[in-house]
Amino acid sequence: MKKNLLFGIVSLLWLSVPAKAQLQTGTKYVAATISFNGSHQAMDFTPSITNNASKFRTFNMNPSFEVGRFVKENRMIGIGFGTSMAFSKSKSAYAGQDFVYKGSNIAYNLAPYIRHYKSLSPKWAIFLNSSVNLAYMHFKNSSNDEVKKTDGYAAGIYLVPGISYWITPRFALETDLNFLSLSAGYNHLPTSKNVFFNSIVTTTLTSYFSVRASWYLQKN
Amino acid sequence: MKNIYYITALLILSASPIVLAQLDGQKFISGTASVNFSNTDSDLQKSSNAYGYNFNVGLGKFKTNTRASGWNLSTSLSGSKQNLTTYTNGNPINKDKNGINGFGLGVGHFWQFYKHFNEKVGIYAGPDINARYNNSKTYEITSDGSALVTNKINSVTLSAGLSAGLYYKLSQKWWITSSIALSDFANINHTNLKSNSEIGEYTAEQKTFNYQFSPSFRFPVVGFGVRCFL
Repeated sequence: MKKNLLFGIVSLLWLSVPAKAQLQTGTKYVAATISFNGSHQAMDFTPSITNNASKFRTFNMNPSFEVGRFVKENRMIGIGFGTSMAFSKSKSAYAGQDFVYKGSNIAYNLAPYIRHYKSLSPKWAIFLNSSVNLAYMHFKNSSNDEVKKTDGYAAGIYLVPGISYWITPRFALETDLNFLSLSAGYNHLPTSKNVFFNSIVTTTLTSYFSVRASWYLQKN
Repeated sequence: MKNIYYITALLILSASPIVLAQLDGQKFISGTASVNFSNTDSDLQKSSNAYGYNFNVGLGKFKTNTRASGWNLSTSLSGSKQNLTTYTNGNPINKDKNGINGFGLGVGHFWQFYKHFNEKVGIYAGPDINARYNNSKTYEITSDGSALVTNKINSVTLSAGLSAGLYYKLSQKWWITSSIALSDFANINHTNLKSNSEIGEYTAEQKTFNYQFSPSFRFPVVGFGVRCFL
């Protein structure tokens, strides 16, 4: 009898994967990431015969934010907001005349999604993210004081898998595995309109993966 | 009844961490060294050559059985012998440029956290910070061939990153390491380029400041190394 009990405990310990508390109905999800880069460049010429000093500056920033809620065990409905900003400014002088160019491209993204999780171990899980991406793009550039503004929009459907790693029960790091994805969409830009369909399945693994910080907040 | 003791013993064994060789206090060294030299003999021109070295040494110490930290030092030097020809009113003028034209120095600190799977194999990961200075001098001929331009580049880079790797123990003294993933999430760089033309005392100075923050990593990164314990 004791033997049976012991075997029972052992098999329970080894075979059953405990349902992960973080992936239960009602858990709220918040995630965010940011990346930025910039460059400042200054050029000076001596003697300044034809060219005078010129300055060039760029700044790019990509913040994104996501909120979600588990509607079922392992299934989450969420929405992602993101912007992608690119600013540039250049100032140069030629034959005694100044030229100033300013450009700003901003894209706003809105992506409602459904995500399915599969728990691999207490610390690891994989997920499949199906999202509808809507983007509005705003381009503004000015040379000297002549301003030009244009708009564009894009829509697409994306299917991207990802992986999560829990550092603490509430906090995890996530990355999308973009070497495997499926997307379709439509881009409407001032100078071009295009329809695209992409499916990426590659065996070449080396790739850049962007990391997101995420919190799984359970109600008590 | 004996079976119960047997199973209990098995359970305890499987639950307890595997006893490993003690690593704390052990020092290790790893690195790369490269030396190059090339010589070109041309029928039409005088011979030219290029030479240089690049040394990279990592010195680390295990503070505990699963934690190590240490320093990375790197230095490089390059030199060459070049023949450059400029034309003044159609007459060629040869100019020889000999000597050291590049120099680099880097220092970094790393921290590594280990997970030993068994007696032979394990993984490690941790952050690192690096500072590097590079100096170089290049020569070029203006597109019309009339003047020689000297470019002097000074560059300083500060970066912070994360790296992860795998090790395999060949013996107590020698380990083989392999990198798995790399992240260079933050870096700043300042570069100063000064171009000097020999004719007309013409100079151009370009200062560039770059900065970047990107929480991303590269995977997989394949690179093998050897580590020696002192």
